[in-house]
Amino acid sequence: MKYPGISLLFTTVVAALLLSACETQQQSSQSSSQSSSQSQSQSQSPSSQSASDSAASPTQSQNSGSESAASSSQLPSSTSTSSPSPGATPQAGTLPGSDASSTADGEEMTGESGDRAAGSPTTGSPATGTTISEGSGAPMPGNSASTGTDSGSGSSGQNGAMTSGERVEALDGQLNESLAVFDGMILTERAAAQAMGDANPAANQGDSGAGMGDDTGTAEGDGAGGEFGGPLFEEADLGDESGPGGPGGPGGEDGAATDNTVAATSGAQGAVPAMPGRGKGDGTVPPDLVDGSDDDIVARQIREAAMAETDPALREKLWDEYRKYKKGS
Amino acid sequence: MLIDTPMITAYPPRTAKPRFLRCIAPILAALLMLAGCGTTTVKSTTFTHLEQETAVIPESQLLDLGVIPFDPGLDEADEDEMVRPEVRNAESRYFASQLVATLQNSGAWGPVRVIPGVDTVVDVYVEGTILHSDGEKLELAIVATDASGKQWLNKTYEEVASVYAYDKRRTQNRDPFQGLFNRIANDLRQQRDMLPAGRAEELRTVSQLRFARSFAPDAYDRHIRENRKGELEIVRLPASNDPIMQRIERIRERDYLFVDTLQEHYDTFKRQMDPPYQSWRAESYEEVIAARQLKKQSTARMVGGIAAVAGGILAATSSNSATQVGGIMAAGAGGMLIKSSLEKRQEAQMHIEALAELGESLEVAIEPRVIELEDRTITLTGNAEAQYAQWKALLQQIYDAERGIDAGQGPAAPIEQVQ
Repeated sequence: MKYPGISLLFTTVVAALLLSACETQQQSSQSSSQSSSQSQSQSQSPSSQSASDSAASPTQSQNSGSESAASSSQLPSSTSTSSPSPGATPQAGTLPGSDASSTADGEEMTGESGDRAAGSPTTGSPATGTTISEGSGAPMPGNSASTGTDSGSGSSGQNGAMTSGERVEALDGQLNESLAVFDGMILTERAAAQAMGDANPAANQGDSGAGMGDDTGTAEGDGAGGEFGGPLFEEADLGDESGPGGPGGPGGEDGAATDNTVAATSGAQGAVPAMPGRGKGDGTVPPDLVDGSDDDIVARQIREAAMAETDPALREKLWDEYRKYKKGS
Repeated sequence: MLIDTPMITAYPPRTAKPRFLRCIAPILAALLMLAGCGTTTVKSTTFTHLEQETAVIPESQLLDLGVIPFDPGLDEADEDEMVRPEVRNAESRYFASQLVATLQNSGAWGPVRVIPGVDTVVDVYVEGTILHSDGEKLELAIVATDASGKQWLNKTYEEVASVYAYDKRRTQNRDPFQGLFNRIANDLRQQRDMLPAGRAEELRTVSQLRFARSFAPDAYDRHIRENRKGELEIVRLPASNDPIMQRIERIRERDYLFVDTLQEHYDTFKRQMDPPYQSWRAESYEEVIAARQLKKQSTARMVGGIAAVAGGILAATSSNSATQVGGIMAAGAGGMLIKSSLEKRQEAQMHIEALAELGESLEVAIEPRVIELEDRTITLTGNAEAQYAQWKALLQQIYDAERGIDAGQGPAAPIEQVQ
């Protein structure tokens, strides 16, 4: 060998070139395999509504598990969709608003009804919160009522169709929410009824003047008598009963709940309605005009206007008019 | 031979006119007396007391009773009655509330409430029609049926207020027609006492199954059926641990709440309406009696006057001078009676106009209350009905899910909440 160094150098260079070429080919083959695995996983996740797809997706997800694990950093959404995890993270990520809204609704209902929400054991937000925390592919019944769109895709994406028990549980949650909303509406209406009754003191004065019951006097139940603070009734009583198996069954249940309802909501029967003060004025009546039992409509109106008048000068004028009218009649 | 014939003096034939005059004279006298007579007023203080239940009724036998706002009876009212539609509409609610209060006081029933209609399920329904209502007389037609559709009562009640009914010193602030409502309550209680043993519990079950059927027809449609008489009878009972029935019981509690809330509105309305309405009754009583008395006097005097004038004309044509003078006097008296009759009629018309003014002032006083009550009850009833429709759909889905119907088809579309 005339030039051994040169040949050695040439050999080294050629080997290096060959090695670099081989590495390049390997990298290109790896990138092509990654793209194929991504396309397979994306096509499987949205279509897993049916049982066959749901059966296929775990297999495919298993097959692409290595690729998905490798590409998890790049495509977190697809990874999380294809590999079922305890649905807390994705569900919490997708339904925070609904959860918050349902929680807010639950809090609002609680505020309106006091102990009522506590009395009803399965209101919307606790059931919803429990379902979310359990996860494992279970649907979100309360959130389905709130969001209205995500429940189907959310539940289907987990383990396929709901079982009948899960569905009943979901519907029970909706029913509980609806009952709570109705309770709130009823309380609002009762407060409005009480306000209407308190806003008409002259009308309340008529209770003693007219006589509505028997000859013993008025005995009409006062339904607006400030019974709104406590719970409307105890729902737990219904669950303790044996059920409406016989003639006595519904009577027992109805009796307990009805009595609670009537006692708690309508006030005791026979309660005398309260008589607030007369009008906005001090209601003083001149000593010579105490007896107004023989007043006609006009005289009564003048009398009531005088009693409700706050301006002393105007009140005196009204009483003078009343005297004139009484003398004239 | 001459025959003596007696002289026969030709007298003119007797005419019937004096006999006619002798016949009509007592009639004229009676009419004249009648023209001067006044009408009688009811001064009886007879009052039907409410029979209160003294025995303790087991809770399982207590029937809840619903009184539907009465039919104002505007279609059956005569034109002469001067019926004010707004007053009648208000009275339809007022009388229903008054009957509810009376039935509550009897202590013979469970909850007694004013209900919006027959769609609200209760054990016994009471409906009424106002046939006549003013300060003097109240007439109601009452029909009571139980939950199975069997009629308990179909009767007309009438009461005429006495002159002392509006004397508060005597009546102790009692409603002038409270006796009528007491009679209704007593009759209903009598019907309830005549129920065979076990019937009360059966009625409660029927009403419960009716309510259940209205919310879950697929589940409970076969539990009750209608017999040949059109009455509902129980076919089978639900299971003691029926979960659907438990849910329905929870819904029924809300229904009770809804009815209780409605009752508060009706109670408030009755309290608001009471003062002007009682005043209207007292004053209309005076006006009605005065107007009727004057009308009768006017009619009687008119009849007497016409008869006197006719008799006088007939007598004036007589040849007897005394009869002629009597006839002229009778005709004159008849004329004066006719004039008096017209004056009485004018006075009666004044009282009728006063009645109309009283009705108008009462309408002005209570119309806002009626509108407010209708607004609240219609709004509340509409909200409740919308909510009931949601619950009905939910129960149907729950029923289907519990039986595996629609399994595997995915969750159904959620139902939007009514807010």
